[in-house]
Amino acid sequence: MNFWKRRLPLALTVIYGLAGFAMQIIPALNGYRDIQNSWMPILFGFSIAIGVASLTKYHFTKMRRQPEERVYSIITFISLVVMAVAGLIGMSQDGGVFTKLFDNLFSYVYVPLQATIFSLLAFYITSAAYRAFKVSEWISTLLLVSGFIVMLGRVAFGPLMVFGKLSEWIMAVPTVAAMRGLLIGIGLGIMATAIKIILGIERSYLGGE
Amino acid sequence: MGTILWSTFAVFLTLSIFSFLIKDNPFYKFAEHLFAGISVGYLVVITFTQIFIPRVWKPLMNSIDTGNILRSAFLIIGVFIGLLYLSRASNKYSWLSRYPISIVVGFGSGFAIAPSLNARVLKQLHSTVVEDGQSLLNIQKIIAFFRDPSFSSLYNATYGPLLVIGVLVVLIYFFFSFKNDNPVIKYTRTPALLYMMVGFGAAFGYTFMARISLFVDRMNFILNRWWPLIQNKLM
Amino acid sequence: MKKIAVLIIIIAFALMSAYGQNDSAPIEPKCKLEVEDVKNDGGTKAEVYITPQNNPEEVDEYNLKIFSEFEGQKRKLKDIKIINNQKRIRIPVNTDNVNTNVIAEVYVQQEGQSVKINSASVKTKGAWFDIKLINSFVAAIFFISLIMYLVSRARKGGSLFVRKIPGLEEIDNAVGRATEMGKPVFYIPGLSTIRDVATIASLNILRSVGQKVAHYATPLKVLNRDPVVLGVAQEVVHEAYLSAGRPDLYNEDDVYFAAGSQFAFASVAQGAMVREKPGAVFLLGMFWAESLILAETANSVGAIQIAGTDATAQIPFFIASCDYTLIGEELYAASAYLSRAPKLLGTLKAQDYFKAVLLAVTILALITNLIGIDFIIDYILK
Repeated sequence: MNFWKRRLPLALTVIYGLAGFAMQIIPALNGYRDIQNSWMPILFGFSIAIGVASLTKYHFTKMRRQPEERVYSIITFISLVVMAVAGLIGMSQDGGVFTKLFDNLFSYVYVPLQATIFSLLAFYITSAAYRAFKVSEWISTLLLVSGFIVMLGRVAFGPLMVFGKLSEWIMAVPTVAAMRGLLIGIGLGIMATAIKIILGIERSYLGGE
Repeated sequence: MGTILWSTFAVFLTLSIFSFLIKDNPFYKFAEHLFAGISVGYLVVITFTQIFIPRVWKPLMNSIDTGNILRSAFLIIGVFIGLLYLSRASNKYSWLSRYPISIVVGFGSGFAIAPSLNARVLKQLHSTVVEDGQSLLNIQKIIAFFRDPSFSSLYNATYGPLLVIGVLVVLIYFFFSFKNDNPVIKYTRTPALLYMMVGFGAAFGYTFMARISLFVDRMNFILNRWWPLIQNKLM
Repeated sequence: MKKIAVLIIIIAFALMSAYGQNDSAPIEPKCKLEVEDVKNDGGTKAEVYITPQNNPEEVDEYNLKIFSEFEGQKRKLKDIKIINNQKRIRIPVNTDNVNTNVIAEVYVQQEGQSVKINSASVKTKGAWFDIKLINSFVAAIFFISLIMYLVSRARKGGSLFVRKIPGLEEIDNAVGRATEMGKPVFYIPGLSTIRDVATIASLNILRSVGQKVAHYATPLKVLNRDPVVLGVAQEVVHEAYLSAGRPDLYNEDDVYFAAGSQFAFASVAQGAMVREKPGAVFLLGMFWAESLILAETANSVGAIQIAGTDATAQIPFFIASCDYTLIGEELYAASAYLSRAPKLLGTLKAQDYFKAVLLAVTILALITNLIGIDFIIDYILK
């Protein structure tokens, strides 16, 4: 059983890892790359079923445990089903009632909710800046001062133009240097982790050692 | 009328989300649970219309029609392996889901090695030595500064060296297996933190106004798009 | 007699020239056609060169048709008018398959009819080696052998030092504090898929966190956005509880799928944090703009936040908002750091050595570049 549960999946990782590496290095395999890549969306597509199942199960359990919160779980269910059904039926009959419902749910529910949650960042970024301001460590002070200069630099006019120049310098020299150093390190980290996975040293994705 | 109702609902949802900033409340809970459901429902639709139909069903039918047995077999095997994900529903057979995961992780890892080395490591190091065909450590520019000291010649003279030093110290900062009393590690630590914090601060400040404008956009939606609709209807 | 001979010759020339003028000699439309396979590629590209060999007055335009022929199926790829300016023109061709016949045919209009005047073809071939990638290839092989060597050395028991990484050092304290306060621990393994290496790095840390949490019997909630990551996270947590000897504490519903999109996830996560008031929040993996929503909400409920990401755009927000932040590469070092497994420490060491070599090469390149030698730049760091 150990073979089917551990060894074979590991072997598959090794084989596919080597294949993936080879397809990047050997141009002649480019053709197979596209074919192999055609599997990825298929696999992704099926994984959505796990998500839906988990969400459903989670809310069912929650409804049992917290009856006072039941109504919210029901809202999640109904919205999931309505959105999915409207979209799937609407797809086959263009311009019908379901298409309209799906479009409206998308434009007047999904999009505004998304934009609003995103816009909460206006408040959160301010509170984060404020807290960094209160911390007296030199590191946070530095972060804040540089942030302040660049922020002013973006809206600078008149006598504040000096911030414009200063922020240009900050963006062009220290920022580029720091980000580049980080990127190189991250690139190496990604490579090392990928190699560990292919060599079978790293197995966390299979659940454990 | 429909548009007004839907728009009003959108405004209601917007305000419900903002109300969370004061305190968690039933309105927020409603919006949150609605969003969770809608987002998953949308994902289901997208998966079906943009993945299943165009990238599985159509190619499969196509390759069966043209008699391309290899390709159709390949797609069918892909579907079969994808189906193994569903084994997660059972406790006994959930290990079957390791097969698709192994394939995705293995292939993704192997595929990432060369591009990550190329784009993230070698190219970045390359542009740390030369930029636009010019060496970053350019003595001519330093000489030019001493001949004619000004802010712009100072900028030109220090640009390359400061950039190079920054990249190197930040790289050294992320050595993990050398002891801290190693002089190279010891003396580059503070400069590396300096570079990083200035850089992070800059990124923070750069994004700040963009984030504020997101809020302005939402207010615009309420005041300049929804409100005129209502006004027109009432008058 | 002589005069007659001269006259005859003149008449003969006159006739000849008249003949030539009357029935203008048929111009022969000509062009040079070359079809070449592109070298060092995947075997799907070819190039067609056409060089007109007539004056523009004779032939003003050519019609170039390019076909691909694969497994007996002929498909027209291009049909272009080439205005005759007597220059060699290059037309790149992309086919879908390796070993495709690329056929080029040139037509001209003669008396209202399209007449084929030239054709050529080539079969595309895939290269087994791309010379442009040789530096990456060599570097990758070098790195792999370095890892294999150091891993085998580590297995034999060489001691391997790893410097302190504060964010990882604090995991214990954070879980401990949550336990003292009787509050749960929240863990978010990023919002990306399992293909993202950062996600895998995060799942490694999840294993350690899971073990500690099981040890203290503190509730753990893992919120996911990707269904596959969800499945793996469930297994990781389950195994962690098993290895800590507390499988009874594991509840599959504690590792759940929160929502299907980035901001829906953020709204669910911030709601859950405010309601359940975790004592510690781990945000490790790949994040986008939602990073600050999660970090700030965690802060507002008084949780210790330990964050880490390789998304350079999000690191500033984590640093500003969180108690501890793993910066970039530190996230990848975590698995070796936490498990202290010799083979993982071996790879970490290899990574350091590889980086040291690259640093040395870069410094050498900077120096040689100063004295005008571009070898390293042109061939190694390109």
